[in-house]
Amino acid sequence: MNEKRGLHKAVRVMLRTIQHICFTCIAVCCFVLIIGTGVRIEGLHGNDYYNLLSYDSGNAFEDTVLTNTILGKDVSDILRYATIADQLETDGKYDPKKSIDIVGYNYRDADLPNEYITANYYLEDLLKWGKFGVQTEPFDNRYKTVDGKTVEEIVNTQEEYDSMVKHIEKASSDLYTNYKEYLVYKNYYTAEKSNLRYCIVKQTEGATFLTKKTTYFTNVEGISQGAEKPQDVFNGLMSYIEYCPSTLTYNTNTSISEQTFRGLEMRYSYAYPDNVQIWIGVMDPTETDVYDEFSQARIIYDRFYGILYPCLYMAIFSAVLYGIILLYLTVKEGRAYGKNSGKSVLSRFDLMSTEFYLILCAAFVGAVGCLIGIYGEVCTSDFSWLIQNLDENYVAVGVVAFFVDIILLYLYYSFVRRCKTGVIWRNSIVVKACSRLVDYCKKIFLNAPVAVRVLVPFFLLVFMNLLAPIIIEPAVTVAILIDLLVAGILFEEALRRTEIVKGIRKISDGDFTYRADVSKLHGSNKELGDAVNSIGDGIKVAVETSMKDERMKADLITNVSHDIKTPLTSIINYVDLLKRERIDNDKVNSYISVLDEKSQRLKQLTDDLVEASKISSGNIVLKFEKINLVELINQSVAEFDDKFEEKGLRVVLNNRTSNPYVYADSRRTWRVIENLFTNIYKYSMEQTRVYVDLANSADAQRVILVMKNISANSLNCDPNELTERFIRGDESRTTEGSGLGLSIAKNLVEIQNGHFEVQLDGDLFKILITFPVYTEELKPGIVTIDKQKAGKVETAESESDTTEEMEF
Amino acid sequence: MTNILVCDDDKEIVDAIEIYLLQEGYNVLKAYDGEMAIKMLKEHDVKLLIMDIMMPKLDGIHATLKIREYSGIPIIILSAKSEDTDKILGLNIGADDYVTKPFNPLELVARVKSNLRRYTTLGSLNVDNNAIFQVGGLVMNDDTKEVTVDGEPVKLTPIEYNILLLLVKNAGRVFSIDQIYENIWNEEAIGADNTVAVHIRHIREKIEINPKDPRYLKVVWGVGYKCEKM
Repeated sequence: MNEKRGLHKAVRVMLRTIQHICFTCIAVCCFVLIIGTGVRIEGLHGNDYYNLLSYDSGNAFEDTVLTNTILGKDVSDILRYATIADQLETDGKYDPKKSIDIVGYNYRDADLPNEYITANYYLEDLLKWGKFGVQTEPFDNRYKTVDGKTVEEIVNTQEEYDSMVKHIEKASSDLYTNYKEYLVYKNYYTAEKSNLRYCIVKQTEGATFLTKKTTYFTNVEGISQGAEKPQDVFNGLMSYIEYCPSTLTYNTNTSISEQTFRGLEMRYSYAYPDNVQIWIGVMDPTETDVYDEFSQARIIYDRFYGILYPCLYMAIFSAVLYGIILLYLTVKEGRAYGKNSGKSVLSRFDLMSTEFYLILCAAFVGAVGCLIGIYGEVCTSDFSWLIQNLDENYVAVGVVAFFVDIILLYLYYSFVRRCKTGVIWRNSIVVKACSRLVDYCKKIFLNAPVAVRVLVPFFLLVFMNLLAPIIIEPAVTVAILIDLLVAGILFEEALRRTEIVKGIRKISDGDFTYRADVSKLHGSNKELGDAVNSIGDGIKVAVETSMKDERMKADLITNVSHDIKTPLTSIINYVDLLKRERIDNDKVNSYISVLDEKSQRLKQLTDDLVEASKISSGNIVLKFEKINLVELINQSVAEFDDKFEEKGLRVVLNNRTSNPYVYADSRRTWRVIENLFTNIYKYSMEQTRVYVDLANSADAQRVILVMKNISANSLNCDPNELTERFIRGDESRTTEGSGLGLSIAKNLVEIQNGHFEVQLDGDLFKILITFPVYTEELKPGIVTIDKQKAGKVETAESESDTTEEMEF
Repeated sequence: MTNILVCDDDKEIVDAIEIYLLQEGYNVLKAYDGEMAIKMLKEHDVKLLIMDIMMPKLDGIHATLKIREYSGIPIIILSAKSEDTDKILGLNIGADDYVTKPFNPLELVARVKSNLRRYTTLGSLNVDNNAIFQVGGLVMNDDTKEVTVDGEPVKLTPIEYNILLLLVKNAGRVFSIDQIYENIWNEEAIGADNTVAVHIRHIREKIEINPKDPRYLKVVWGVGYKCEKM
């Protein structure tokens, strides 16, 4: 699937809605798992609150901490209940007329003093006194013992009296308190109202020493009637504890340890002799229809473990689904669907500044945090309210979570879109301000004078270096680091500058296509590089333009001269015909001879013009080969033999070469010599000698050709001007010649890598030509002279080139 | 009367050529473009054709190509195009000679004569004699020491004759001045001298129609001389 393509709006909305629902699920499930496991159990001592999740996952009901905790409380209660009952009952029944030895009672969990005075009172009297309080002063005779004695009658001293009164006071108040508890216990731990089963078996001495009496304190009817044995009854219960200190028996299937149990029992050790046998057990609440702590716990247990795993799975599943959709939408977000597929789409909200967005995010996070905090506070402070209104709370949490997620995702996807388009960076007021500031600084800095630009950073550096050691140790390190950095920057700058210098050198050497790489440069170096490049561009354009112009000029001259040739042919031909007419009129004949002469010059001029323009525009093909310059001069002299004789010119050839071979185009070189000899023929003084010297240069790399002749006319011009086009020795231009001869010769020599120089010494006209000597590395070949790439030899065979042209 | 067809789009040039050729006793037919030339060639018994390259309708190069499909008459191209490549092209596609404008009328006439001789009288010359050497229209008879160019006898001095004979015998081979000297004078050449070169220029002036643009005896500048192999 194309990542760049966006999603249809409907798909997006649908996926987001699924996300919201998932989020709601997660929130509700978590809420259920955290809050919904809190339980309240109404017990004997009021309401108790438990949280199941923390301990009981995976335990069976009877093994849960909850059950064990309840059982532990009940065990404590039963032990107390049995103790109290022992004080108040006779043969398992409440006995108001029970005689209580008050001192003995008060010392029930401690050793009795050696000598003491005591008295027995009826239980009911003591309870009555306990209920209404004992009047100590004046002590009337209301408080009578079982024998009907008053306190005064028993005691002998005032101290004994006071002691007795205190005993009565304490015993009656203790008993009354215990009596109230007793009533509660008795009412609560009945077989009808509780799942708890207990049985405390005591062996007490009977009427005689031998007859032992066994008393059962139990709520199991079968046992008290003697029909069943406690072992059988309790071993069949859901939970049970069997305790018998005399036989060191402690059996249980609960998590209440013997130590814990003994700790509870020890509080009432006076009431439990060693031979006591205690059974405490719990009926399975599902098998009874009793409503007590256990049955409540069971209901809660069932409810909790019924929803624990579904909730957990639901939460995990929702979280995974949420994550997947989140990832997918994150990838797809911000891409347009359909026509504009691939383009980024931003909403108006996305275009708001990043800071505003961040504030919104912070506000949202804060609001959600506050909401959770307040709600948590409310829940913990009034847990019972929460428990009672659980369903309403679920709904509330769900709805709130749904809306929270809408906002959360809206903010998140906006973030994604901002990131993808980079708007998050661009639209930031801080970033904008910073970049503005940087731009501004740059502008100031770049427009500052050179002195400021160079000296300010320099003095800052110096100042920092001087100051650093004075301040503190780490500053020195920082200064050194900055110095190194500066050194690095300077080195880098210098390196870049070298590149630019290289570029300048290349361009000055004629490589106009070279461009310095300015991409890595910055600051003044970049300016410099750009300038160098633009100079290069300028030169390149100029060179190209001038080449083009030169070529156009050459073409123009070629075409024009070609067009001139045709009418010129007619002129020459008809002048010739006129000449044949044998006209007697001398005047006419002289006119005709002028016509003849001028038309011939025009012809010569046209040819020279074409050649000169071709050579100077580089529009010429050279065929380089090994030629013997001495041979060529000899041949040339022979060609001009007649003409020179005609003017009385004698050629003195002086050959001092050891290696007369040069690397040149033979026909062009002949053209050079021909032009020069023609020049000599035209402008030399008659009856003079023409010296032609040939020699090798000192380094044997070149062959030097020198031609010397005496000019007929005085030459008052610059020797270099003579080689310019249309410059002639005689300014009047009366003699024949196009004025192109020397120019053509010079150009031809130079395109063959030779050197051409004209020297004037009075009337001595001297031409110096040098050619490179032929070496083995130079292969004969055809060279197209192009001024930009002068001297490059094409390796193509000389023959093949011409045959190609010949094919039609 | 020998019919010569002159074809050029410049009427004055054609007329001038006509005057010269008439003086030499030829009958001149005139055409002003390539198509007209081809048409007239078919209608008349033409012995030689002088034709310009740049002409309307059909240019000289294409016309030459068409004519060469059925005719072997001599064709002299007369053109203002003076580049070497133009000449090479013209001669390669079937022209027999190439004269550049502006031309010397006498040279043109000489070339016309030369080509006609080759086409009419010398065309079937068969050389069996071992003493006869031939290069193109140049024939040397070593027995009689006679030299003819396109049938016209040429007078040479003994040295000139020997030099020419050496070059004709070894047509195509380039001889340096020293080599020629050693061959002719039978002595070792001492230093460069232009004696031989002057002789050769003289020979050229005698046997060539235009010594500056020689057909037979060519200067290989800076190397020597050779007789073109034909």
